[in-house]
Amino acid sequence: MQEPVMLDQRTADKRLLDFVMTTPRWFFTWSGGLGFVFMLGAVVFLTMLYWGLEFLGYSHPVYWGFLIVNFVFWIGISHAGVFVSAILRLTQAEFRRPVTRAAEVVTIFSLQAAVLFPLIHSGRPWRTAYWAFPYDFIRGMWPNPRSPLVWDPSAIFTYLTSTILFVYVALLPDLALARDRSQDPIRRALFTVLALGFKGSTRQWRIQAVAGILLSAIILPIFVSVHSIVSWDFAVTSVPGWHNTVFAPYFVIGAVHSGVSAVVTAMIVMKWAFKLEDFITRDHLDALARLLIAVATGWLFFLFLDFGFGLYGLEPTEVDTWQRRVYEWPFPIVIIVFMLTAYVIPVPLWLFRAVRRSYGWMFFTTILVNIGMWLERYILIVPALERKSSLTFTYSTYIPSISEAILVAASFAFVMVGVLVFSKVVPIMPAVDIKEGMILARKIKIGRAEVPATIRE
Amino acid sequence: MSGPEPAALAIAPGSGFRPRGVSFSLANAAQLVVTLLAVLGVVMYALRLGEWGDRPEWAYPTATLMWMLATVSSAPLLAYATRMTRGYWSYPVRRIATLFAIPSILGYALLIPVLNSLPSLDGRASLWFEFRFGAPVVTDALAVATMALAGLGMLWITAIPDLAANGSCRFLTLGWRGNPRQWRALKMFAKLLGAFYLMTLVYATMVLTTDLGQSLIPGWRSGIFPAYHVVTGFQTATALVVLTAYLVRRFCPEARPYIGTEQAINLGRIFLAFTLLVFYFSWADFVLVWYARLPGEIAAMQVNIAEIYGAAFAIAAVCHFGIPFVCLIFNPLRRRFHLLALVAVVALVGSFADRVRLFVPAISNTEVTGHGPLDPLPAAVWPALDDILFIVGWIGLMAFAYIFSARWIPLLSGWEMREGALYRGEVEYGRANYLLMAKPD
Repeated sequence: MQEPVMLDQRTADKRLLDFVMTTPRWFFTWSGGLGFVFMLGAVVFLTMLYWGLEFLGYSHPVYWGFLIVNFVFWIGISHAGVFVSAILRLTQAEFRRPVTRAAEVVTIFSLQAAVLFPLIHSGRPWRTAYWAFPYDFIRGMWPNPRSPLVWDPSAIFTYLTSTILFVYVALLPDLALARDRSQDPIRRALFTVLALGFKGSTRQWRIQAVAGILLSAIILPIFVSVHSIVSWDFAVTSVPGWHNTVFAPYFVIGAVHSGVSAVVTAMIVMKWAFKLEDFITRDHLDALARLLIAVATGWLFFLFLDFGFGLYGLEPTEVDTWQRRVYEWPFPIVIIVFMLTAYVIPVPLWLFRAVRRSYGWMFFTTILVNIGMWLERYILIVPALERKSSLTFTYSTYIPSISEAILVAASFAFVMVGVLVFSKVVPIMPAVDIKEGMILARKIKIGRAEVPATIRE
Repeated sequence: MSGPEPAALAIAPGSGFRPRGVSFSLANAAQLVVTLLAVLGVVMYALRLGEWGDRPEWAYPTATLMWMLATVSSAPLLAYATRMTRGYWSYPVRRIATLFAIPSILGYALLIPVLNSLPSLDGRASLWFEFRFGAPVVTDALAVATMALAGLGMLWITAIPDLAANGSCRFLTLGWRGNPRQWRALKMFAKLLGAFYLMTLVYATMVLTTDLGQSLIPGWRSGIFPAYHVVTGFQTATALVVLTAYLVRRFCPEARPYIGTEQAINLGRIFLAFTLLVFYFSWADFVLVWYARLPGEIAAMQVNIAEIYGAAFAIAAVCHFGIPFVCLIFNPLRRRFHLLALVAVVALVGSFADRVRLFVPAISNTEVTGHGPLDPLPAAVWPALDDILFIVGWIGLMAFAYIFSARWIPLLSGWEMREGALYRGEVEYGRANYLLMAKPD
């Protein structure tokens, strides 16, 4: 049972709003460092605009390298927020309280990072407007609704909008709390505007609660549709190794696997950085690790279906692609590392209670999962494109370039600095939700033991 | 507040509640009908054995078998899932779900003749590739046997305290006294066997859907097909538990106080969630085939969706997804057990039509070699009178097996309900009373 920490209102407010109200020195060091890495990525991007995609090392037939791998990876990470937050809210899981905000914020910034990559990948980002928006009325140029290039932006922007709305509705009481506790007039003015006049009247609470539940229910189909559509970017093409009907659920469950792992990593980092050990406890890690065992094993089943039914028909092109993935250097090494890090090492470790309840071990294993899941996308994309098909006369081997690696690093820096700055502006722990948990907490006496309990609404 | 019904709270420790085999005195008529249907099932099965090795004759029994795998065999997992997620509402329906492990064994009687009628794997697509190990007969039979044993194991382990309490089947209680060590072992084995059952069910579903379905229609390649069966199985298993819980509530006065609105609401939510997943998995399968237009896949789609079995597909689409979805999104419906049970019946009918469109064309297809596309498309095989009698009889046989086993194993999991009663209470908060719920590790 997740026993909530019991603090009085004043102490709880102070602990939960501490990082918003005061600024430690390390904040500037870290945000400056991460901002620098992000700016490096911006320089690479601008150089690429001048020189073209060749600057990133792309050549026929592999035009989808690190950039698209990273796109799929960040879309995957973004699934954690909604999965953790919406599902746990709907099921009234008590351990959700300190977890949801971090998950939702990771979603918002990783989605934005994801959106950057197809734009960079296009080489001429302004032209992407032709794909998605019906703006060239005079020449009668319309987007093709049967193209994944239209599905993608539609799905991602719907998801981004609904996630921001979802987070904002949940944030309102916390913003009002921050407004009431702020001494600094500028900060107070900012929170006054953001809190939209939330005063905590019965009607406002009711509307906020109903909106939260409705958004939780509405956002779930959107969350599933986004990664399904990303998977169809690949699956609807005729590239061998990609046309598999299992792709949609396989991508979704893989996204949840990497996303929930990323949330655990983020929570542990936040606990260390913001000194939140009272709120992010070992019980939370334990609960999330149990969830991860189930998700990871489901993901393994879909991985097997992808592999088994890729080879099932014994079509020469499919077999060739899988042979490339499994036997041709350097992919066997990548596959081994991917399997070890995505499943073989972390999941057996999570079976041990001591590991599930250890911050260090959970940090290590969830980082491993995301290394593995990044490599999974690499294995999925690059070898399939590298396969030499008939009528391919120019042919080269894909070697990732330094500039691509800088863009990847920049995306990580973007997400981290985004979460850091967000935590500075608004409470990263859902203060009101946590305090509600404290108020609802009770104990039931069973024999000689007292078991933590909660009031269910 | 969605609190417990007062009657559920009445099962307090020391109140003298003792689980017993449920009396069916009020349901004699229904029991007689079920018995007659079971006899019909046995007779029709014996007659069908005369067609040993004649594959097209086993088309509808195969659809029945796959429907059983999805509904009856998947049902115990509902108990396992709610046990793992500590769903406090589910205590009264856990045994109702787990008891389906017994009729699930009957699937074996269908499996053996169906597997025997399969053609050689040579010259056709197969998930076994060159690693045959006696596939598909030995491998599939082993998979289903392991699953059945795991299911029985889960039922047995979770029933031990109740069997010890009511004094029936003492030899199965293994000297149960209820000391802390025994309780720890029971809870651990219940979790382990549940996990093992889930894995074996998924594996058995994967090999059976491939060997009895996809691999018999050249050119049909769908990676999502096994997962589709697993997920639709969870939906229909939930429907089956809803229906059974309603019947138990209706015909067993002793159980009625414990199966009420709380169970209906939560079962309804799960039912709705899986109904949405049914649509998602169907769509994920359909959209790629439609988009890619590969000849083999299009031919398979023409057989089981568009031309040949279009009528079965229409029934499946409406009953398996359409009606349940439209009904279950309404909260008032999910609160009423009789309406929920009606939707469950519709979903079960739709699920059967779905299995017909997927497995009857495969088993009755005679041109199984090559890699497609299927040309010409095989004609539809609609059920004859003996097929209908077989299906009805077999369902009656499963119902009979369930009712018969309920004579020996209590339909309500007494120890879990008593444990649940310890973890819940009522508390006054503000001006209202609320449910207080503990969830220990």
